[in-house]
Amino acid sequence: MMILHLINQSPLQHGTLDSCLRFIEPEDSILLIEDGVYGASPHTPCREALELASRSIKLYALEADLSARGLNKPLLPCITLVSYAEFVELSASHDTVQSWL
Amino acid sequence: MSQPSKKILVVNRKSPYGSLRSREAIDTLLVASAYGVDVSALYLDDGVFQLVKSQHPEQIQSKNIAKMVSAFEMYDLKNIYVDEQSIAYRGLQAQDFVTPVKVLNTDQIKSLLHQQDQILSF
Amino acid sequence: MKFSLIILDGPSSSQSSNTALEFAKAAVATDHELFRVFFASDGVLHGSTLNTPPQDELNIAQAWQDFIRLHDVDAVVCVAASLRRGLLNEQEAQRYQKPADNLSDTMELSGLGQLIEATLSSDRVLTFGN
Repeated sequence: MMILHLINQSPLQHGTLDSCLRFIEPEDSILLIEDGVYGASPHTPCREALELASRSIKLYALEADLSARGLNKPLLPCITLVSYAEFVELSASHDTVQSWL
Repeated sequence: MSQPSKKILVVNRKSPYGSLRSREAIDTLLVASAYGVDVSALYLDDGVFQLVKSQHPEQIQSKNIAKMVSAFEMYDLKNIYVDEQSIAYRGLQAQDFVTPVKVLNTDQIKSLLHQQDQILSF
Repeated sequence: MKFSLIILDGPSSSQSSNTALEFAKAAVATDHELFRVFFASDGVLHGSTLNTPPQDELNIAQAWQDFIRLHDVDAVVCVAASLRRGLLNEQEAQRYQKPADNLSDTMELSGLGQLIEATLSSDRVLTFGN
């Protein structure tokens, strides 16, 4: 069973991404949305954990949320940008979607 | 309900009184159980505080979350899981809780999450 | 594929119901189906016909109601959460002797059983909130 994990809180301010990273399995994916996209910046304490995770899982960030926040500078190379349509397709291609609220 | 049986997990990461989400999650669990759904609950991070004994919210004019949680047994809600690391980090143990819980380690929670058909969060 | 969405935050409390609406638009634009949108917690406030944000801002509650009408989406607001937050249909306003009702006719007041049913009947359920 592959899970799409949704992170919508900034890893600079919340432990949500750290909690999520404890429970990922190969073939899962993480999609950063809303304030979660701050995790796509290379300047966060979760950078190493994300780079390590990216060896076994796929990492995505919602392009509209990055762009809204002025996060267009070089991002972590392990992160793929997606549109809302691709968000829908990621939800369909995984078995479940877990929102880390 | 006539739908095929699905495994549903309700994940709780919120403290009991900081918002109403704890109550909404509990209500959802009770309704799901009353409908005969294969539902489980996982308590992670500050969510584990929902389960502790000796809550006295009278002075903050709130309903007692622990009391609501203690109805789980009556509703036949048996699959109540808590994260070992979250409770250890908060100085809690299984006997501090108002309802019988199963304490799971990280690998066990990984497999619990990956067995579900739907995961709900509040 | 059948999707259901759960909306937990209010129109003015976070970005999340906008994310959910963009997701919903993208889902129906392809060959996916929205089985149900369930508004719970502060999310029920999207059902109010009285939200009046400044004119140069998106009225997200209205945008949801327009979307639901356009695509004939099954939209449910949790009755317990709604009454608590002052969202009433005509029947509930009469029952509790309130001076007005404000629930959009695009949405139906119902219980958490509808959320459970949506969860069982859909291929994917996504929760939006904080």
